[in-house]
Amino acid sequence: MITPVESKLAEKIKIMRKIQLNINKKMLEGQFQIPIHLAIGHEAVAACLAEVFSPRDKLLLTHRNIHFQLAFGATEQQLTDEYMLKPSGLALGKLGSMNLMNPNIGNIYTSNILGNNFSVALGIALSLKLRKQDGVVWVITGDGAIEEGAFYEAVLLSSSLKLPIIFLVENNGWSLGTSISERRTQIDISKFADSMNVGFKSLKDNDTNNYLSTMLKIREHVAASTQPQVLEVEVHSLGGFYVAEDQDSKRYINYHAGAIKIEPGENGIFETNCTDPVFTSLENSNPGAH
Amino acid sequence: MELTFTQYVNTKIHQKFSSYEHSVIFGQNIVSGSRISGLGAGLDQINNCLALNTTNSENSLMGLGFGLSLSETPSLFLMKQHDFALLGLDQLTNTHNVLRHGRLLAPFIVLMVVVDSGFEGPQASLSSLDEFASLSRAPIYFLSSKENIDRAFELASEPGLHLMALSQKNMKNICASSQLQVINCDEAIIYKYLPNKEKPKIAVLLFGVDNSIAQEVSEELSNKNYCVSLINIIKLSKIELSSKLFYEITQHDKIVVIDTGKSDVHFSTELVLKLKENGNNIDLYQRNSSPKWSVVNDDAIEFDVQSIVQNISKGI
Repeated sequence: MITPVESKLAEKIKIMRKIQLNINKKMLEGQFQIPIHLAIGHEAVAACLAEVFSPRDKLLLTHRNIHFQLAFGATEQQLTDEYMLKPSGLALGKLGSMNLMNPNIGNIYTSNILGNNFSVALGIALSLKLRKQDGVVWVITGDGAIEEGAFYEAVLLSSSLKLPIIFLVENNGWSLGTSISERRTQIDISKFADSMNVGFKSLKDNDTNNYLSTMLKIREHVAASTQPQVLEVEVHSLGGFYVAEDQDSKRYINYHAGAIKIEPGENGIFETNCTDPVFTSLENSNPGAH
Repeated sequence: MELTFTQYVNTKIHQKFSSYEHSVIFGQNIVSGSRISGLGAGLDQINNCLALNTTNSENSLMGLGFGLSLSETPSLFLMKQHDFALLGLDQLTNTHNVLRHGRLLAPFIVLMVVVDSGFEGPQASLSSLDEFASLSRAPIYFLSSKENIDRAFELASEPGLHLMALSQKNMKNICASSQLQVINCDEAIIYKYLPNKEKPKIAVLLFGVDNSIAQEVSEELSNKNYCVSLINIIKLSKIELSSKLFYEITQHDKIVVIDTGKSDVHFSTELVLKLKENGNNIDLYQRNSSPKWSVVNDDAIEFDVQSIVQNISKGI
């Protein structure tokens, strides 16, 4: 039985997808001068975070932030105007896409430099703790950024100072056009976190019910204990493409930035399995419809 | 009681951070061990100020200060050795670029010790503050005299990033008030030696953390009865043509610019070019990179007081 919250989330995820596809269309028409990183396939994690996020919390984002901006209430018009650098944009047309932040919802820093936002999160969390404000810092990152030494430093320092931070790792398995197996050994983040006395949880398959309950528990634990946590969420960035390598072979390249050239169906679904949050949401609310 | 530079800077830190409702002072070994040769003495006793011994993670510590500033919490990152600040350049450059126009809500001070005392080796003796000021687009305050220190801490009350640099060579020296007439400009302190109105007016401008060579040159010239102004730059940044300082400098018959930094690009060069365009008579002394800098050495300044004074006497 689908709950009202899940139903609301399913609807929200569909809207987030629709807006991204509209923005994609404008990109294809050449309406933007700035680089934009869509997050098609990432909607569920952002939508769920917006549900558990407290007004006392702070949110630090990365260059790929459109899904969080949408989940936290930015309108299509505000985003489109911002990307066109108009004064009516979400940040008055001053920040564009990769540094887009919205202090009104607690998003006081966004960085497009890989691994740069971790340490800023430390200071914000220390200030919350110092002032005994019952909030936590959600710092968003990816599987590419955790390769930076800054991640090691920040997890260590957050554990040493007992700071209320949640490192939310969106693991899509790619850094630009290079998959994890093409660039490094696997990192077992649970062992890494454990080695520094930091808790760890993982989520996958766009199960909003599980996402919500896990995020809520982590938030409560971090706020109460002022102990950091790492939350790894498996996501699939949809919109990848194939390039021909030899005569008979082609190589899959993950979507990174810019317009997506493949056309989805009218319902916005790219994949008919749990890798696509829209499919998962619709399947849960109306099983077998697809 | 006479205080050393270390003690005086420590006193200024105590004064500044006692005035905040919440604040943080952080760094490695600041509340244990040597407390950075005494710079950190008693910081854990300041009311409402959290003094933290941290991990050895300069990049994260720079970001920590920005995060605190975003959250309206004043902070000081006290660090021994300017060369380690290189590890935080991503934060000083990229983070500051996004936040510097109005988003930082409290002062974030980074106080670095420039290890200019010699025999530390090629890496530990970094003194390249021009590049830091340029990359971060934040002025660097030279803590080269008591008056400079007072003014720097006054300026560091504003929200935002403030980089300060202190000479290791100076740390145990006495930091006393000047007996000279002192003029306070935004970018510099001007010390006026007793004027002899008959003699040419000479300005000795110092860009650097240690003012001993500029002070000696000024005293020698004063002994020769020249009308000397020793100008200690406080803020290492662009000096505008419209500034009071530029006007004051141009009132001299001869200008000597002494830059003791090891940068390959200098704000002092930019000033000299402007002064030359203005028709001023200038001697410029800057250190040139040499193979000696790649090995352990005494880190002595390559130009000496007597030759500077002789050149001035010839050039007037």
